[in-house]
Amino acid sequence: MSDADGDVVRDVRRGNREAFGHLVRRYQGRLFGLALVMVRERGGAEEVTQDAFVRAYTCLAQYDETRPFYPWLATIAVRLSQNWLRRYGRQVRREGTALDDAQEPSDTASTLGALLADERGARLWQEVAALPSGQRTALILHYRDAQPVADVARALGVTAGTIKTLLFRARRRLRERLGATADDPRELP
Amino acid sequence: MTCAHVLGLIDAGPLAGYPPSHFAAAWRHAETCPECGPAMAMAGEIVQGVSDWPDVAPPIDLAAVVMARLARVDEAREAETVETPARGRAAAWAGVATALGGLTACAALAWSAATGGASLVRLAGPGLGSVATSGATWPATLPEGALLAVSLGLYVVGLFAPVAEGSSSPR
Repeated sequence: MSDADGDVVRDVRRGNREAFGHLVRRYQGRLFGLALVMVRERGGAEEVTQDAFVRAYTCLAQYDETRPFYPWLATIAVRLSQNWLRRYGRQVRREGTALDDAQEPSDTASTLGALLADERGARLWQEVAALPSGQRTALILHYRDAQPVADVARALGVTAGTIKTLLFRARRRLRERLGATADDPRELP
Repeated sequence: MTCAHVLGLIDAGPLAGYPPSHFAAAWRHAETCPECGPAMAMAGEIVQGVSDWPDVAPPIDLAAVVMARLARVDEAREAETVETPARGRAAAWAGVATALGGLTACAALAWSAATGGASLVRLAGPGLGSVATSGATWPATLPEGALLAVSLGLYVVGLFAPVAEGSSSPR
């Protein structure tokens, strides 16, 4: 956890509710993006983001200050997103590779792309939004939010091996869909 | 090393857990392979693109809505902590009343057994009557003893209820 986050959390624990507003403002964009990737609906993402902050506030006693704050918050958002998807019939199974096979309607797949001005980025995100839920979430948490595989596995309630499989499939699918059009080969990250 | 192997390594990336020499051989293959080279470049672009994805602009009033909800959460917590002592006091008084009732019943039993006032006890029911007429020693192992124990237990629970509830207040 960054020192700034640590100070804020300690303030909130002392009873200063307004201090929590700093965390909300700091992470709302990042968390909303994560929720949007997961539920693929702006209204649902807003609901999940709100609920995640409220849950984090009410459960702050359970937060381990020695760990970074955002991954803990993101884990809450992931769980709430899964609940949201279940509630609205978009089943996300949490065991094994069934997570990878979950089918969802893609009527809002263009939402993310529409939010990005860059055409190339928009194309990438349309493809990311079209991935199955498990692949999509693992990809975002691992690469965008820089969470280790073990933390992503904990957030999704599956094994690290399953996360590696999900990431493998996501990368392969994106690579195949986007095609090999790069001019200069780069070293694989 | 075939293209299938190399493409597999490209998709798995560093998570594959192979030794560096294995990757080095794959990358050497990719440098000259018309299929694997672009695939490797694309994989790099994908990871970079996902990593660099900017935050999405949230609804403009999101923070305000969240803070308003947190205010309601705190109000509910405060209301709960205000109600707790009242509930605890009620529980304690209920325990006192029950204990006094039990003590009174036992005292009446003891008095009737000692004085032979069986008529008084018979009015209270067959359990008490049998004690009085048999001349058993109070409280023995009879329902009256259990009643006394339950009464005392309720009294103690009632006394400690406010402390227990107060100590579990949120945050």
